[in-house]
Amino acid sequence: MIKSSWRWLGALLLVLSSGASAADFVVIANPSLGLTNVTVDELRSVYLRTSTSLKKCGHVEPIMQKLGAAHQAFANETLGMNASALWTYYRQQMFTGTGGMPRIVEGDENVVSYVKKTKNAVGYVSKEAAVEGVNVLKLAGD
Amino acid sequence: MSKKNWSAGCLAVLALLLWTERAEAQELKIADHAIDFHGWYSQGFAYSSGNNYLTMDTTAGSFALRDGGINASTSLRDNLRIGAQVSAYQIGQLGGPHPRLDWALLDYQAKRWLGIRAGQVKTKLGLYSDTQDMEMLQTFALLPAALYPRDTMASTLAHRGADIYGEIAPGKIGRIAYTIYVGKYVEDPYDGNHFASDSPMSVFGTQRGADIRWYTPVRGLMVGASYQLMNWTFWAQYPDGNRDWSADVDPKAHLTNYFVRYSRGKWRWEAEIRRTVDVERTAYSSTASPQYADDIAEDYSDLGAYASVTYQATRGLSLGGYFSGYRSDCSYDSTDNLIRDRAVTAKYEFGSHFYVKTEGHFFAGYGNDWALRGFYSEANPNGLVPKTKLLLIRAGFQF
Repeated sequence: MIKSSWRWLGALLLVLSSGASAADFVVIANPSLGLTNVTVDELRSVYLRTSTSLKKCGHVEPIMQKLGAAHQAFANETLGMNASALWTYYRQQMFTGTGGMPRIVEGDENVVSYVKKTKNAVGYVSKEAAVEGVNVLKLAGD
Repeated sequence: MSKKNWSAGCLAVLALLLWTERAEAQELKIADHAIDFHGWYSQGFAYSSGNNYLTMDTTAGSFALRDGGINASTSLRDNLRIGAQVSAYQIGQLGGPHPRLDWALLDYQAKRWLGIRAGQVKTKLGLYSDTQDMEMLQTFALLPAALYPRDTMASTLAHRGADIYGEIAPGKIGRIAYTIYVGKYVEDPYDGNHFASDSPMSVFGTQRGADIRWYTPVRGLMVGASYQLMNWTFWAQYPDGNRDWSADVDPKAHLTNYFVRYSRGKWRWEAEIRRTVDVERTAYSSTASPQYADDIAEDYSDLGAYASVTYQATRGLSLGGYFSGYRSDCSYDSTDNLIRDRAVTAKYEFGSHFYVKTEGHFFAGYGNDWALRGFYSEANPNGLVPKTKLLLIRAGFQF
């Protein structure tokens, strides 16, 4: 009976912890950072402003979009919250003095262009975006 | 603040908002530093049956519910920020033309796992203590008063001192965020504590605490706990104005808070429970004749809890509801020391800046003299009644 209960609990946790779909976005970085991959946890920490740097390259400037499928997928799959909850999170940071919001750049083309010309910049764009002149980072799990 | 001043302030902020909308950024550049500005203004209307609520004349319908504020912050270096926020509120006979400092701090984040904030810092305690005075950040127009009373929030809102904070991610077990703080009590001389006192009073002292949150490997599930030690002194004048008395809170007085949040898709479930144990150990008077120092050992403890759910129905529309219960153990003259509240709300956001909320509350009970959760005999001269229904409409903007 107890064993069976644990099995059910295990199955429930597995269901709850899954849910990530194939990424509809790619993460890009300025070539000067020398990055080829980044962990989801590190990326989350710089976007949620709990850290200002990545282990391999020091300080980074995260760039955020405000709308679009890539933004929604990035928020859900990398930051673990929907776009609306993310917006609330940043507002809470701003109005309690505990952090700022990443710079917002709208549109894949503008994000690529900004990341290309800005040392330390990291961003995300949709899979279909043209990403010349920036490094596309491979996402590793936690 | 007079109605004229509020309106002028509101117009000024609206002008700033329109300007920032045009500029598409709320920042100014001064000496190579981008200074971010943010602010809000909110106006409400409250109508109730039964009792007047939060010192407003709600049984007749009241517009005396408004607040606003503005902040500025900048990064001095990659990991060094400085900023401050001021705000003012009016809720019936509470608050008024008295802008107050919400926070003013220097924040240095040495590592992900170690940062320090110094100055006047918002207190991290439970899910909403640091944002409980800013309803525009919440789905609900009024947070559950069992834990977040809008009229008496000073003891959990901010402290003047320092925080050490950080986050660790030890592999597969998720992330753990912590905050440890010590600081002086920041009093609000226009809140419900002072309104309910029949003579001048003051609270001062220190508070120390810690907050820990575990973002579990289960996607969207966070559990946490907070603890606060309170070392306060209450001072008050006798109504005759010639004598005063003080009472030291026992150093063991403390508050414990447990909370859980689960978010999945458009749904968010939350629950919290908080117990406050507050023992006034010694009362003394320097001006009474004869002078005295009694060990009164007057125990006071309360227990509050709530469970809530919110649902993001569309991009702009959020719906929510909660059930909250509060029990003040120290009954004194009252036989009823329970307050229960069922609330339902709908919030609609127009773009990023404007919103309107409609909320209904169904209260059972009004607590006793120690409860200080919205129901005041001073604002209900004909006596308090057991049931109150409250309709609340709030509209505001933020930038």
